[in-house]
Amino acid sequence: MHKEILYNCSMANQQLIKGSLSTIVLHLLQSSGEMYGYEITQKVKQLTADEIKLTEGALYPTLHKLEAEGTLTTESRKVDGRVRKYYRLTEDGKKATADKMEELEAFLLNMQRVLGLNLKISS
Amino acid sequence: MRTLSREQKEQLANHLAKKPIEYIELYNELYDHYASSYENGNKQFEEVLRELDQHFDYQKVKTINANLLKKTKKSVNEIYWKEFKNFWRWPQIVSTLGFLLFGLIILEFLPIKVVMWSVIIPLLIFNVILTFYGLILKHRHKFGNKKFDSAHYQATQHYLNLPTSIFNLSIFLPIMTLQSSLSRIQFYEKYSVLLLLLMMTFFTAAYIGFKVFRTKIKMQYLR
Repeated sequence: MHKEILYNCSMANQQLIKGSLSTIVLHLLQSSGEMYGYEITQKVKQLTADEIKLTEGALYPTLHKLEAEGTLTTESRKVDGRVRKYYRLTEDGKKATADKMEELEAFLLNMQRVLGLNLKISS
Repeated sequence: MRTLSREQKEQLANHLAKKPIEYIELYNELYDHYASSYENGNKQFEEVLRELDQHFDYQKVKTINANLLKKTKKSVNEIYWKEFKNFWRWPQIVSTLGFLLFGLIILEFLPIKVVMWSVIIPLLIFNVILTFYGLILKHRHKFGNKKFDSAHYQATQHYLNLPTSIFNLSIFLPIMTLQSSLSRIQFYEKYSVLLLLLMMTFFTAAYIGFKVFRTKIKMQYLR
């Protein structure tokens, strides 16, 4: 029973994360400047004390999509004998991040009102 | 931090080569992800492969791979457009105008034939070599017994051919404008601004093509 509840929570978490994956990526890149795929997954793990684990299979299509949109720019560098691709926000990306963060904040505030949650949201 | 041994590197390359990856960009990204997971953790190498394979199963990789070219085309268009706009923005506009002025002076004092053989033709040859070099890169290296295509090369191909197209246009333009009574040289001496514009587009396309090739294509095949 306990296991089932945990599984359902984690499934629900995954659904919520999927919807906010772009926002998470954009925000992390805004604070860190540039990051590579694996680093992004580890940063999320670290910030949420292992509560949220990004699905790697969903991360790369999101990164590729954001790059195609011109929100992110990339630079490949040789690191330890292999090619590593670093992602960085473009000028348009910085604006998109601010918009997405505002959108998410408004959404969370509305959810708080509707569901009567007691969340403290700070930017 | 531990690092992959030579055998593990080979094993990882062979492991990824079995996945439905066509493009070197995706191969490099997944290789780095798998390698970083092992190097920054404390799990056994085989365990890391098994765990990550759950995220990157056959179908998932196939989907990412299938969408990559479409997304790369979009991103390459974005790069070209951004780079082209940069030519007309401060402070690059100073060098662009300087280049235009230099072009006008050259056309004024040097015969068009000299400009053609000393500047345009060598640059055109360089651009054609660049396109062929992309093909060589693709066929030269094996990664885990597999050769990978470059999504950027495919997406950039028509842009890499742009200088050749502009050159061809400059040859046919005098005929197309029904001024066949004039020789090509006379035509461009009469309309030197048109030649300057063609040259400008030619140089811009060649410059951006070279930049994209160096940073997005050649880089991926580094070993």
